[in-house]
Amino acid sequence: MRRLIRADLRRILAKPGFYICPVILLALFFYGLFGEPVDYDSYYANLDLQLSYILPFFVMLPVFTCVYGDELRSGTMIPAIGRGLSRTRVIVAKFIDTLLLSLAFCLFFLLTDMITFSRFSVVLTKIQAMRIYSAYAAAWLKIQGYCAFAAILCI
Amino acid sequence: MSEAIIELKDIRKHYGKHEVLKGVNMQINRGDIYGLIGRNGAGKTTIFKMILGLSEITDGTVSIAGSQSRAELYKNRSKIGFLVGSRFFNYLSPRENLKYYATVKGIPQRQMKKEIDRVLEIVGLQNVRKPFKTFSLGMGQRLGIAGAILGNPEILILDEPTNGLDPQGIADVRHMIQRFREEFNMTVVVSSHILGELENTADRFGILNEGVVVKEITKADLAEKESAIEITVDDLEKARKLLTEGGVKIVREVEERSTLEDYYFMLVGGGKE
Repeated sequence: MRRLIRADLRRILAKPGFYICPVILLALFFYGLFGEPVDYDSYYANLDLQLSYILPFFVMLPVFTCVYGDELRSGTMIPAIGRGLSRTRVIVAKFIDTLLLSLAFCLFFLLTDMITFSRFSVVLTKIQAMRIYSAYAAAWLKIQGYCAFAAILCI
Repeated sequence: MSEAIIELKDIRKHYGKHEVLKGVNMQINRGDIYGLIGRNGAGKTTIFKMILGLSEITDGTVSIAGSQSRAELYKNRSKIGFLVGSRFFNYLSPRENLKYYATVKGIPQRQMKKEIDRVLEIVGLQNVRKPFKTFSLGMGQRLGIAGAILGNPEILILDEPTNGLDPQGIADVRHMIQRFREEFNMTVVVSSHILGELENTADRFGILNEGVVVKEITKADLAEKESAIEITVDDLEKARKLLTEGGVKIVREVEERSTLEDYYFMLVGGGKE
């Protein structure tokens, strides 16, 4: 299963389409970096919108299309199953792919927020930082629910 | 006689109420090139899927390299390379696609490039760099064969490898299959409904009809079947008389031996136009 995860991540990172969403996010990030100053209260007020709608969209779209979409299109899970891996292990390996990729995306989002705070000299208290980290963790877990649903459909 | 490397005993498969396989018994020996023959929808691909674990068996047993338990069967399936449709990522080149499957197969990183070069050279795709989505059907089949022989498996299963190929492509696949056995000691199982081509490629045949393997036959058995002789003579009546007495002038003699195609249609019914 580890070999399948490694092979999958390698081929996903080789896919040009995978980088469309990250490039858009980067463009938005740089736009925000040179835009209106940000403070914690206005940021936190918009955080729910960001984590409930924007983050899932920008994470799920590339992750789902690259992990599951390619398989549904080309049937490449079949050679993995035929080589001695059970169907369940292959699906679990794909789910782990989505866990890792979505985690990378969420951390990327979080990093851009921290850089933005730094740019506008916003100093967070411990509680404020914990609230932001918890909100991101909860958003990441919600995304795993969507991914688990996709995995069940594949089974 | 060689040891059996794949054995199917009383294999049955139902899809709902429809029974596709009704007790298939088949034995493939080590070193065989085994041709599985059957009409469209006879169950050839279903049999392969059961050997590979891609489809659940309703009843019966599959044994690969003497495996008894489920765990052994899973382990022994890693000894099989197979082509059941060409399944590759459209946006990756042949090398990148094979790198994916080589990683899944567990080929060590340091051997991977050499192994990929080897298999691409065998199928004639060593200089192709473009992504898979631009491939023709024949190129896709070649890449499929390359993927199947990665890691030099003991057993090779090829489901209709000549589908959609031109005569040159078909001949190339035939030579490749013979090379796989002679050079790499693979046992090859190939299915086709081009009987003439299969007859040139394989040396044992399993004839599948109505959900059972009605007969397993070797090339040698086929040669012993009754043959007809066609003789062109200047006097038919005299020839009839002289055939028994001898001495007739034979203008042209054509010997026709029973082909695999003739025998197949004799056994399962139907026939050529």
